[in-house]
Formats: sequence, C-alpha cells, structure tokens
Amino acid sequence: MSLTPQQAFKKLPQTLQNFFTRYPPAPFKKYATEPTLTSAEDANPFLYNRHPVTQKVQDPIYSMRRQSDLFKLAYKFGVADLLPALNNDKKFFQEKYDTKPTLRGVTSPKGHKWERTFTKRKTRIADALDKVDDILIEARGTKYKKRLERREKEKRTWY
Amino acid sequence: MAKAKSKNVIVKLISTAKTGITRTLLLPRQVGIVNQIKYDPIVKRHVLFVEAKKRKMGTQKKPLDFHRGAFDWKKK
Repeated sequence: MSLTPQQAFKKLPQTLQNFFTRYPPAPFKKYATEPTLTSAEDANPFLYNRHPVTQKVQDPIYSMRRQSDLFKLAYKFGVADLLPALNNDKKFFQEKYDTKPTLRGVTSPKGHKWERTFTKRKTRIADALDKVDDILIEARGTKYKKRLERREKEKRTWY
Repeated sequence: MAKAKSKNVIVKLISTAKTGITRTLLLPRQVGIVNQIKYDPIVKRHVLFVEAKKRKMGTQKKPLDFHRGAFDWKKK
C-alpha cells in the first residue's frame, strides 16, 4: 500500500512537520546557498543573513545545534535532501569521514628526532672513523704506525 | 669575599669518532691537556678521547728536551 504525500507528511515527527510547514522543501521553494539579506525571499534559515537597512549580521534562525538535530532527524526519516543547504557545508555520518582532507602528518609523518637525524649522524661517524687511525698515529707516534703496518703485512688469511 | 677555587676540576673527554661517547675525569686544576685512548662501544674499537672544552691550566712546566744539542755544555 503506497501512501499519498499528505499521509507520508503526517507520519513525520512533529519537529520536522513544523519545519517543513514553515520552510517548504525544494519543489515549492528554493533557498540561497550563500548568506543574503534577511528580507530576501530565499533567505536560508540555516545561514547568517544581513539586515537590509542596518547591514548588520543576524545569526541564523536555526542554531548549529538545532540544524544538526533537524538534519539527523530528517536523515532518519529519509528526507534530509529536502532541507535547505546547511551552514558551512556541514557533513554528517559516513560522508563526514569520507570527505575529510588527508592531513600532512598522515602522508609524511615528522617522526622522532633520532629518526630525522639518523643518516646524518651515521655519515658523521663514518667520516670520523676514516680519520681515527691517523689521529691515533699522531697521538701515539711513528712506532705505532709501524706496528700497524707490520700487522697489516703479517696478516694471515685462509686463502 | 670571593669563593675559593676548588683544587680539582671535572674534565670531559669526547670521542674523536664523533659518536657522542664521553668520559669524565676529576683532575687537579693545574694538570695539562689530557688525551686518552679508550674503547668506544658504538664503533667497537679504541679511539682517542680529547678534551671537550678549553680550560685554564695555569703555568705549565716546560717539557724536558732530550734532542742532541738541546743542552748547552758551555757556561754562559
């Protein structure tokens, strides 16, 4: 058994009925996606608007909290797309997580300091190790140098 | 009154293999520059450890010169 639009409307919760009575959905009325004047025909109740005379900004008719409550309720009853555009393109549920931008820390994490300086430290040690023997020879004298040379010459290998 | 200087100083020796390994010694203030050949566990070998900081050592004794001709026999 299919319901008529009037019957379906009656099945919605009272808060949604009240909202849609005050702000009829898409086929009957369209709402601005950008803030306009408060007196405009298509003034969006979810966005801040300017007063036509004083040019002062007026807060949205429905606060962010009430917008979210309304959206969640409308989503539950499958009529979320009939609501006017929400403030700041707010997303809910899975869509909210799908449209999140990937943060820089995720793609290229900073890492610990020891990780960032690892190669630099290793090359520094390797460079210093090349000079260690010369420094030792300088400190211990020529006899030590000769001993090193002799050891190198007398080195025995299996081949 | 100025605080009296201690007789000994703490000397830090640092590895010449640039590993950051250090040794600390407690030495009399007037002792000259100290270098030591000790084991560095990071590069797993003996290396020279040198003093990390300059320090005042007071007047040093001249080392004896044993080279030929260093000693003048003639009295002046």
